[in-house]
Amino acid sequence: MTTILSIQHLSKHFGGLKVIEDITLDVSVGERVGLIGPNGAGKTTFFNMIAGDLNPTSGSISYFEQDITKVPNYKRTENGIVRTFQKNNLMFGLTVRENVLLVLQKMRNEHIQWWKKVTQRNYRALHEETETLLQEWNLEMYSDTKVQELSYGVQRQIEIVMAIAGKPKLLLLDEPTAGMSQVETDQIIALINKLPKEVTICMIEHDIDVLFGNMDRVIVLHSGKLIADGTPEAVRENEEVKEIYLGREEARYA
Amino acid sequence: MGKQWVKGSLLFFLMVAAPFFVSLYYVNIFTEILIFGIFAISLNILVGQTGLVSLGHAAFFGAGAYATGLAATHLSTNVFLTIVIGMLLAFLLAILIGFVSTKAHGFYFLMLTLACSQMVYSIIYQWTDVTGGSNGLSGIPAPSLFGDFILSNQVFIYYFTLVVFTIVIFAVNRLLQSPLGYVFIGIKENEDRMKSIGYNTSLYKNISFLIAGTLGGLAGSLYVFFNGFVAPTDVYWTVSGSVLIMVLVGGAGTLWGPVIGAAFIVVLETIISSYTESWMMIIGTAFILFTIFAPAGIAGLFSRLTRSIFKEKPHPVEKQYIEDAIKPMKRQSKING
Repeated sequence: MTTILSIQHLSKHFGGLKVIEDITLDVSVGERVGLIGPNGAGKTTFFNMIAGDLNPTSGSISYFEQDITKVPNYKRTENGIVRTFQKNNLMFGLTVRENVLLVLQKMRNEHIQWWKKVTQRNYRALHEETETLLQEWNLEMYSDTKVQELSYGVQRQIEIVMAIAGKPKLLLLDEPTAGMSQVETDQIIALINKLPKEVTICMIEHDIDVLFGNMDRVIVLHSGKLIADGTPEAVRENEEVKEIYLGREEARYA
Repeated sequence: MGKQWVKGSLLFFLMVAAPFFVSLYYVNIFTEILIFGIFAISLNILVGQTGLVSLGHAAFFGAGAYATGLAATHLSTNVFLTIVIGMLLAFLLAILIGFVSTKAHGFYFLMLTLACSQMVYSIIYQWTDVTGGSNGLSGIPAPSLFGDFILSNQVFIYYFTLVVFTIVIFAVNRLLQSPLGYVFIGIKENEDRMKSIGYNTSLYKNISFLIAGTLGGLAGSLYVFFNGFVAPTDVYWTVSGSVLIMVLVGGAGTLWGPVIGAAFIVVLETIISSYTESWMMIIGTAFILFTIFAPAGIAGLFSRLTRSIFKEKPHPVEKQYIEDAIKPMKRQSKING
């Protein structure tokens, strides 16, 4: 299988604080990878470096065998590395439709046009694509509502829709279900599972149960180090992982 | 859209007819409003649309004014040629200043634009051989339209300005709601997210700066024909401040807001300064009152007014959603009770 992402000896230090220490791993095309670890393990920092929002202290990142360590984040997005954010990060003053339009017009390369208004008539295909996407995610009733007026859970969905609208090859989901109810979580996971098989997904998740059955592979980070990497079942049985999640004493009896 | 067209053309014909009914004094005020309207519209692209608050927009006004004035004196009086020269210099200046200042954010962007424009001011002030220094540039000939038709009086200048203004407002109206205009709004709303979507935000900030600067130069060019004279005080930072006040008082981010703001300030300046020396104080007070009580400017007040007249309610979707969610619970509680 082709390797989509290859990370070599990646480290990130903030002064004396080693947030990520010497991580090396490969991800194949189409793989569904879950990333777990306790708070402060460096998961989001790790994502930030893959997405290009943060420069690593040392090490390298390759995407389809091309070194992208120094490539700025917007170029990575253009090439298919798309992320969502742990904290809702949207154009809050704009409507849901406008948020999605901003992504789709970029995808369709219409974003540089200045002589036509973005009306239904001038940009029919663009609007149709937007409607389809919003319907697929059951968000069409919010199309003309400003994002800031919507509930947290709906905003969370828009966060993911915005990423998917970018037709990612590598989708980085940073705790997509954080703060959501069980029903909402199940919905989101179902929709993520509906994505085409060739889309590679890396997902940070606190809840280990969400990853089982949905992910091919689970990676565990702890204090910036990679401590386990394997199938969900194998990781669950891993002694070290048990220790981190349950504590040393309890792990012995678990 | 049809309604807008009717309103727009009605206003245009009203403006065309105006010189037949009012005295030259008022025609001059109208011209000044149109020129500063263009100037405020250009700054609004930066401040209202892209969210970059600049305090150095007078640099482009000055560049356009001086380049056009010098070209008219030494080269040709053709109005199109001289205006293009003025806009070209403003464009080049915008590339330079934009490249430097868009690297910074927020307050630092404001300080950099201020510093750059003050540099332009001191160049104009000290380059006496070319610009006339503190005496300003005088003796600028009246522009010619085609061949020997000369825009010799203020009414011709008014009509010419009106045509240019109409073209500008037509083009900017499209720009503000075009895909590119939405990119600017996106940057104002959330620059980080725009980067994550794949937009090279510094490129678009520079494009916005270029458009704003070039249009600012156009306003300067028109001003020099209107006034027949330009002095370093027209490039001083207080001019940048005054146009920023026009945008904010009128309503940043709207099409007509900056024009209304320009009209408001020009009228206030002309009328009040004939009664009292301290007219700046009145404008200052007005500005303070607007920022506190009507942060969306005069345009915002208008739309609030029309909304309350027509009782247009905000979008009811969320309310419906909540009610739908509560309904089953209510039913349940009835059963239980």
